[in-house]
Amino acid sequence: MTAVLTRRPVESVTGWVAARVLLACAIALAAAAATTLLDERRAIGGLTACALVCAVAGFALRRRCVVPVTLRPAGTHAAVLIGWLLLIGVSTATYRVCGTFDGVRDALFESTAGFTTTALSVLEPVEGTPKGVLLWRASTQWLGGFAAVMVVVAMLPLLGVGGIEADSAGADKRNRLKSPLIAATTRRLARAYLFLSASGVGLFLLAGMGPFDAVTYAMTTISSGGFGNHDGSIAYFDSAVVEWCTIGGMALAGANLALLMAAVRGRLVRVMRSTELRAYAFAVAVASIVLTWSTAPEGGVTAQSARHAAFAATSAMSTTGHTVGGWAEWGHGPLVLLILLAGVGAMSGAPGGGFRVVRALTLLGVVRREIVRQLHPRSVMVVKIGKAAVDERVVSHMIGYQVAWLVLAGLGAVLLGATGLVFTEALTAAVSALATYGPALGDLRDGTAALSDTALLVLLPLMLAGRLEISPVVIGAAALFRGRPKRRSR
Amino acid sequence: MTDLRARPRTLVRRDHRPASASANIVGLALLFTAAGMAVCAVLARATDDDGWGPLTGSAAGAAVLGAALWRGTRMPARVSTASAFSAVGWTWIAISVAGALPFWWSGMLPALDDAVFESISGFTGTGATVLTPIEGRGRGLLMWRQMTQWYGGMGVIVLAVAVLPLLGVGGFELLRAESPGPTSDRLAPRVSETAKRLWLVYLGISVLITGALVAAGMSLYDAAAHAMTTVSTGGLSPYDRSIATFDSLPIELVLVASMLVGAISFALWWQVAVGRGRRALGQSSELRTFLALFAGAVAVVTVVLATDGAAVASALRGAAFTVAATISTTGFATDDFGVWPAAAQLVLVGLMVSGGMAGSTSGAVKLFRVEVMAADALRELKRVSQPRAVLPLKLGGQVVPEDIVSRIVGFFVLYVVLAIVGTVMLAGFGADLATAAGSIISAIGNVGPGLGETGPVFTYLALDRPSRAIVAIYMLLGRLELFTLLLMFAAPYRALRLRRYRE
Repeated sequence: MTAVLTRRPVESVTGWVAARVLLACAIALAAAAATTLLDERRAIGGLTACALVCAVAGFALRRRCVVPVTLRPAGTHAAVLIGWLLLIGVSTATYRVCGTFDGVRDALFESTAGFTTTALSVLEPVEGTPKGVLLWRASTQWLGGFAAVMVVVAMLPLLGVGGIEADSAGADKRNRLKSPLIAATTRRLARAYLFLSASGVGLFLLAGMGPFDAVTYAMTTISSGGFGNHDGSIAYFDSAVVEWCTIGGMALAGANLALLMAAVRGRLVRVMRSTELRAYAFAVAVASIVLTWSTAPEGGVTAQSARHAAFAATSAMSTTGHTVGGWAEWGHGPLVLLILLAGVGAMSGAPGGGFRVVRALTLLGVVRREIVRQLHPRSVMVVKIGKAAVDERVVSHMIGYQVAWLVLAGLGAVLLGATGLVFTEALTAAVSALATYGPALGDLRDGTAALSDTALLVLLPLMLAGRLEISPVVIGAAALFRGRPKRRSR
Repeated sequence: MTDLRARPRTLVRRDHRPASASANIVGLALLFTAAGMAVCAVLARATDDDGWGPLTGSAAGAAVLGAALWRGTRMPARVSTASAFSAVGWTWIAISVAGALPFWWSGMLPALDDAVFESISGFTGTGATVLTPIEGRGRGLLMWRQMTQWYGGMGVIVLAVAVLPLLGVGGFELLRAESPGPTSDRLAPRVSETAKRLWLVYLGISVLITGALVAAGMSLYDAAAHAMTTVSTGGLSPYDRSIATFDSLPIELVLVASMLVGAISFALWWQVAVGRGRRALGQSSELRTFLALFAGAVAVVTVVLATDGAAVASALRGAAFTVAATISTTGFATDDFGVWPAAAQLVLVGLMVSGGMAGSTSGAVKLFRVEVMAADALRELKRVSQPRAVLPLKLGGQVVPEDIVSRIVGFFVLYVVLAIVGTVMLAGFGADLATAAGSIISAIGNVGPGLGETGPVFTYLALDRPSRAIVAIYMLLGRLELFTLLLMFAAPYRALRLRRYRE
């Protein structure tokens, strides 16, 4: 109270995060509002109003709040969670103000799917929606992909959690985004992300897309989001070049941002040394080959079937969720493989989601150690990724993460089953949402039409937990419910 | 006059037979198998069915080969871990093939691979079947099918160690490679004594269950047949409709209780038998978790079934039986849970993964490990907000040592990885996800019925031959706690030696 009266800045990580969130939304909304000028000014009022509100609130908060000198784990997690809920809230309000959805529930779902970069949409039909709203819809994914990287790469490691830095064999230390200052790290990350997005726009323009489609599809591809401006996703373009460009974009969305920047700067040898990158590339390549082989049409592999197989593999592994169709004729094996790929997911520090390659590698190391230990019970062994030893703390953190992941997937599947989905649909929908992928098997192959209203609500926390790597959601929620921790005097 | 300086005659004759743990144990196990088949042959003779010839013939063959192997080799003085894995692995393969002979020979299962599948399913206590129809076969053959599960439940190696005190030295390694559970409870200082006590308890409980089933209204033959597959948490039944054949509440109640008994540690039952039961049962936190999990799962499944439109009483009855059959990894069926709502099926799949207590005859991960994994995950969450805290892992007030935690974690991760790999393989051979995941999780957990096309009212004939082979391997993997089968060829494999880790 005294702080308010004296108008001194308040030390609040929540306020700091909220200010950034609101300002980012304001910029994106302003861009969306500007786009309406190309589109008969449809929805210009709603977008402008939302942009203004966000800008005012954001600037106000920015003036009032500074980052505390020391970050407390529980408080920071809560701040991340609040920031994310704020993003979703702003977006829900925007959809409602613009009249895009009739009910709050659909707007909330679309917003959550957007910011968690999940390719699940309840916008039906997509075509005919004002362009401004479509741009905002793509922006939610674009912002969400970036914010997720920031949380995992910039904020959590400061607290000594996350364990994502296990793959230290790759790029040299200077290229790893571990600056102690969040702001500096954010700037570096943002530069990398903008660069990638701009290249994506360029590629799509060259492939023959219109400027608006190029921008929006680049946004939803580089962020591993998967929303499209057309009902058939990428299949709408019916163009091999566009599909190959999307495959490239999705592959980048699943790769570590810091490594990508190092590669751009010409440190290719160092980048190639990253075990995680190698494993990621290997998995995508092998999956593409297996899918090409197992989904070949009657007369043998065609250029189109091979391309569609590679597309599906990349889309799943990077958890993007763009589709090009052709799934209807696929057998059970390829489809289950896709869900497995999405479950493993992208590299650490990438906009893509999922369990992440580095964790999968660590767990394989644990398995290997246990097998050897059976024969040599007294041996002392470290888990390695490539040649680098993984710290035991990090190993045990990843194992905790695996259990949490399995429990969430199981709980989600049971709840989805209770809403009337059959076994296959419930299980794959839960895994897919947790991996922020989108498509699931059974009747859920082609979108959300088969999901009941309750099922949509069950998916919300799953997507959010998957996107935020679980711990901010659990710890943050616990901290919020427990109330503000007492400050220790220093 | 005797020369006092003459060397005294040695009492120990040097044994020139080749030393081989594998051959020795395989021989002994074949002898046990032969004995079981002989008993069933007598039953077949008494009931005048056509299984008599094949059973006698197989018994004779197994006995001759077994005796030759057992008498022709000697047990080495020391059994290394690697050779223990090898011996146990070969033993299980040998008895699986020997046990399949009567099925194949009698024409009950004309394809040899099907006969071996049935036999593996029997010995591993799984209860997955490819036999259809089951009824109308000879009583002797069907009894042998039940008896495979009874042998496999407590384990032939444990039996061997119990019968032959000579195995004392290497016995513990062998026991460790076969016994279900993360910790081998020693009931007595001597391994052979431990094994003997385990088999005594096992035998006693089998007799008790038989008596209870007779009291509940079964014939003696049915009671013995079902008792053997209940105490071993196997789940084979000589009837096509499994327990639904009887449609009797008392029988179902007895079986629910018996299945739970089979899923509780036999070390605890030994304590009960010697009169220290109250204290032992009261102290076991795993037992409390087991009962709580059982009750919770019954409640959830009942609610799911009741909201789906079933009457509450019949929902409760079906839920209690099916949950008991699943958590104990027995796999008896009274209801077709293949048509239950997905929520109930997913709860059952969860139970198929957890299984019963460590040291029981139930399969799967075992609750002790599940408890440790859960506590470990919670500890990691705590560490996020208190990164520097030293948090020992406690279960029931006792600290679990970190190296045990680490081994359990390794086992669990391997279990999950194997289940995922198996599911993808089965799906690759054309099964849908429910069938693939259900079959694999059921097989590696030694449950029996899966989901989808391998549900309780179907047989594993729904899968194609390669898939059935994968399922059979997974049953063995699960029964031998993953590592035995993975490492049975590892003894000469130098790459796994520690040399690579010395840096």
